[in-house]
Amino acid sequence: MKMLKRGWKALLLGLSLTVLLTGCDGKGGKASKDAEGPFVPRLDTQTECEITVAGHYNNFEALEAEFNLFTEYYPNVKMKYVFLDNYNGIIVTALTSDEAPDVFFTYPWMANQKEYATVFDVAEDLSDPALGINLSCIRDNLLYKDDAGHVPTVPVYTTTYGMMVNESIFEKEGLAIPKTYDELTSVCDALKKAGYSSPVMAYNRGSFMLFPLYYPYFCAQIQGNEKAIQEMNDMKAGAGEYVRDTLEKAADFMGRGYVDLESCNALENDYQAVIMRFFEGDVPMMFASGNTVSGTEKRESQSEKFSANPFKYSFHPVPSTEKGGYFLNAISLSFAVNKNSANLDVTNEFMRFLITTQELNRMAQAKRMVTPCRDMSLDGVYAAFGELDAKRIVNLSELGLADEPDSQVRRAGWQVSNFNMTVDEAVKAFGSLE
Amino acid sequence: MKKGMMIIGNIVIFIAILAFVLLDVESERQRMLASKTEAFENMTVAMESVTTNYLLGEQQVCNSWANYINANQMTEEEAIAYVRDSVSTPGVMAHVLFLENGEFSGLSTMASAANPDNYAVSYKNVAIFNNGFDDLFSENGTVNVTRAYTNPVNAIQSIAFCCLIHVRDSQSGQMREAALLRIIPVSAFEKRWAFPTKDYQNAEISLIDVTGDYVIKGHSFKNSNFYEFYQSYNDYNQTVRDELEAQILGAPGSFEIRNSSGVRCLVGHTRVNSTDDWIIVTMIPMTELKQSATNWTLVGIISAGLLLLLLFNLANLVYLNRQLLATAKEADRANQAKTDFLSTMSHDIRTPMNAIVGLTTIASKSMDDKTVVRDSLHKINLASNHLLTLINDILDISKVESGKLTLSPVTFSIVECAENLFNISQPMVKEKNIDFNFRVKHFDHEYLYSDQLRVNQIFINLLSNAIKYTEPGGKVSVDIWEEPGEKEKTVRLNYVVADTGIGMTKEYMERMYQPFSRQTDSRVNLVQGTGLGLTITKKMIDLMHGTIDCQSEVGKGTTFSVVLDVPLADVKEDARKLPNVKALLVDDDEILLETAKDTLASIGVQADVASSGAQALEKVAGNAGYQVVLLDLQMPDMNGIDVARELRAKIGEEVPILMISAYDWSELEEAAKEAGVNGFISKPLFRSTLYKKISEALGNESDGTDREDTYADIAGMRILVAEDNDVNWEIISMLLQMYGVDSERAENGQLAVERMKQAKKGDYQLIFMDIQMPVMNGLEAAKAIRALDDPWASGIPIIAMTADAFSENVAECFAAGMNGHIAKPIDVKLVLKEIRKIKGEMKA
Repeated sequence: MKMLKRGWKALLLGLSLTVLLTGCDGKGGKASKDAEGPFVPRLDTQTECEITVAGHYNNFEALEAEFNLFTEYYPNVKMKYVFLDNYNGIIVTALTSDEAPDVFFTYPWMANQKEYATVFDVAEDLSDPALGINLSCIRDNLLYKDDAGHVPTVPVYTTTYGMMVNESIFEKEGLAIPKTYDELTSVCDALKKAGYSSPVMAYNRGSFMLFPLYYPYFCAQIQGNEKAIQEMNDMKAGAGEYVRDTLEKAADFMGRGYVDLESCNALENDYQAVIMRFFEGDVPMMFASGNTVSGTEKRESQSEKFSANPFKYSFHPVPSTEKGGYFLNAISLSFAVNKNSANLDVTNEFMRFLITTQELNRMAQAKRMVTPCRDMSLDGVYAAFGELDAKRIVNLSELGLADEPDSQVRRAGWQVSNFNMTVDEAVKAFGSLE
Repeated sequence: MKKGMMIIGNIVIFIAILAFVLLDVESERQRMLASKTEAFENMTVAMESVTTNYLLGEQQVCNSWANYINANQMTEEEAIAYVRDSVSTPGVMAHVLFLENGEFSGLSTMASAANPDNYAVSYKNVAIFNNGFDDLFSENGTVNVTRAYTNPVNAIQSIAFCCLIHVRDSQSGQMREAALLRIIPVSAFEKRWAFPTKDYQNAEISLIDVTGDYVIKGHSFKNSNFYEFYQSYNDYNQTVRDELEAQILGAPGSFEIRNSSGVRCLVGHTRVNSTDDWIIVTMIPMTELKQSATNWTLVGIISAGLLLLLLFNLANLVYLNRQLLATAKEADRANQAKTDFLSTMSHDIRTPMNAIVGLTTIASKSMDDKTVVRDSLHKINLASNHLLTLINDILDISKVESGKLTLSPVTFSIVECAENLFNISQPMVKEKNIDFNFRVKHFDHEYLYSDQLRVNQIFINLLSNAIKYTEPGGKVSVDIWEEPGEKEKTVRLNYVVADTGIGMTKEYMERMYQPFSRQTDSRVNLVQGTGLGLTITKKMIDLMHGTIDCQSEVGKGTTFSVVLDVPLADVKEDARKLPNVKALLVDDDEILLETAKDTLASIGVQADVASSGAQALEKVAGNAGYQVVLLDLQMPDMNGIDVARELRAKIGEEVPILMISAYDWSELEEAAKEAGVNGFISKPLFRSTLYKKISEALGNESDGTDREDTYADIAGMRILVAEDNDVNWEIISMLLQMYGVDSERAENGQLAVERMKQAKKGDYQLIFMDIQMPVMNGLEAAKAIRALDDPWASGIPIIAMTADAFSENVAECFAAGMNGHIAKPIDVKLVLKEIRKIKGEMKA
């Protein structure tokens, strides 16, 4: 591993984030610990069946490692992960097909959309005490409950947003990794002078551009402002004003010329392409999500340039204010169980096995994601997030912002970032942005 | 070789053999593995044919549909309707897609699972036509098939066989290019396409494209790309990736990887010829290929066997070392014993020799003093006898020690043996005035088959010891009796000698059977002895499988008990009986009364018993009709002579009275005859003696002449003596002449034979034959004489007279045709006995 200092930093990060993200709820953590013990199979261990987990990851090694562990208890159970093309568009169909998966991916945004009602209709209530699943190991604010109080889906990964930093470039140029917005602009200026045409890059297809800069900033601004959130959710006229400050931050940054849009537009996707481009070694900072970071380790060897000239890199919050950046924690991936599964008992048994601090943390580390558990053990790549003050942690699921205004914020930010709109235009068009 | 070296050598050999076995096993395992690897690769290649056949078959169906559609210039709807009608396989469907606008949309033969009325289908979000249809319809491939993808109609993982078709636009009537997809669920494909599990139970198979993406993914194949799968669980870098890719895209073959569980697996690969870019990859755990390649049971058995052999060898080595050590110690002891033996012999031989030499000198210097000469000769005789005994014992013990002591069984009379024992002991008993009781209980079987000489030797040794070590006036008793033997045709002979002698200490008793062991006692030192008698006796008893027991107490006496199981001789017992004789037996010894009554009964005499003279007188007073009275000489209340006198007065002159005595009766003979005694019988009362004496008393047999007193019966006999030694010849000739026997000398065996050839019948009555002689030895001479034509000459009795005194020498003499054996130095009594025996046989 060529990039990060792990060790005690990772430990401190885990401890601090445990306190921060659980909202100082010591009881929850203790309850989680007490409820967990060695996994003891409840079913006949000679049970034979095949369990399929369907999702949109092209591959899911971390989950397959859990399959191997589970099948040590149930050697005759075949576990299979299946990648579904056009997952979001096909999952509803898949759940009604002859080969419906037993476990499937869900995302928070599906919850309130009618076309995904089936997803939740077929989902097993994982809070059913009869299943014995220890949901207490999950941080409270991450658990989604429907109107009946059921828990149809359990988060297995959370994520955040920030920037991948090529530390070798910073060392070479004698620069420190920026902790404040001024430092960020100063560093970008210095890098520009040093010949880096685009000190910052980001995936620009879709609405991602500058998202790690402005979105956590926006969330932090309106967190706890119930009036603003209510008006935005109601899409009231003038609600766009709540986004102005955010958009001006984006416009200011873009106006300084730190981002070469043409280079960013060349990135075909926000995962493989972004990672491989970053590994070319000439990008000082690459805005990215935790999902993207999760693919970095494996692709180090896939990159000829990185293999030839490896460098140290790490993931940092984008310093959007003079006090620093924010750690926006959001659910990345949840699992639901198909209650129509032909092997429902074994499927629930697998979930009982998986939803534990040990297994979820193991899976998060394997994929370099943030665990949804109270007791976190983060990969060292996230060390910088552990250094943030508790006040700079934002739990997206607690924000209360509806999907549509949230989407409008993203669209506005993208439009401004791409110079398609001015801040005023975007504020004015808020609620009707396509 | 030192023990350590031998152990190391054994261990090295053990390890070497084990290493060889393991190497051979490993070699065989590698060979089997290579063989199985090759077989697995071949199976992978065979799967290519299966795959190609299947793909071609499916592709042909698709092609036929396309041809029909193209030929009939169908509209999209007509094409779909046609294909829908043509599809007969459950789960299989078809799509017709248009490329325009990059939408990849069209119609499906089946409605959407989510909406039964919707037959529209779009592949816009299914990334298999990213580069249009061109990738699917390349010129190289004969099969145009997609990777496994999610069917947008039913969300089932499927593969699609593709054909380019042209359909007529229903509105414009223009022909449009479209793709016809024949869609097969992967699950259906997998059922037809499973790897043979008969030989490869855990083998799995996948199809990948040239980029490593799975077209069909086996269960144990992880990730979405085979190379990523390899990367995830194996050492990986770009070089590895390049080499792996080159290998997979090259000729069929195999390589090893570690799967998601960390298990080593063999991956076989071969390109699918019917497609442009498909590769079959198969995977099987190495453990399955290695199964049964090694016979670990055999290896285990060999290892255990070698280990056991090693341990056995080591144990044997230790045992042999201990044996050698013991043998070395024994040899040292034997050497020491030999030294001790020679020292002892030197002393023990010189002692009597000193007496002989010294006394001879004294006698020669005192020829005029007859008393001195007589005394010297008497002592010389004693010393000579002791020396002879010593030499005999030494020879015996020498044979015992060398293990050459063998038994020469002959038929003999135990009664005679007992009589002989009694007679031999009498001089010593009388000399020491010992109260001697010799009791022979009833013998059902007189004739036994054993080594008579050795039995005699055992009896004599123990009895002579008892007499020697008993102070004058002490008591010695001998009991001999018969019991049924444990085996058939054997008797158990019991011989008990008890004395009131000096006894033995416990310490001495522990080593009394060791050679030359004599008790350290001033009284013992006064008695002549070699210290070999008990040793020889014990060895002989052991040789006869008998037992000897000893009870002794210092100052009180010793009792030896011998038990021998002796086979019965195959001869008829003496059945002579007297015709219904009634007798009175008088003795104060209750045991004698009991045993003598049995013995008398066995010869037909019904005896009343009386334990005292008074009781005897009472018995005869009743006019019981006794025909003979047997009366003990010494009884406590009334001596035998007084009783005889009173009995005679009562029973008259007709009934003979025989006096029984264990002592010399010569001094009392006259008084006894005067009191009415008709004859004497010596104790013990043997069957034959009783028969003879009672018969004589009753007038059935005449009393024989006392041959011990006169030698007229042998006087005038002529004996040929074959003897090469002048002194020996002189001794024997003079001895014989003393008894009126004439002798003639032959200096060797050859001369003896010549003399016999020339002799006339009656010239000689007997030949005494020395054995070791020049020219011709005695054995050869005896054989030659037996081979003479003259029946008299060839039948003449021949008695060996030799210093070869062992039993095997005796046996050799008999085997050569001789009739008897006399050992040198000669005992004149034995010589006379043999002569008389021959004389008697000649008479018979």
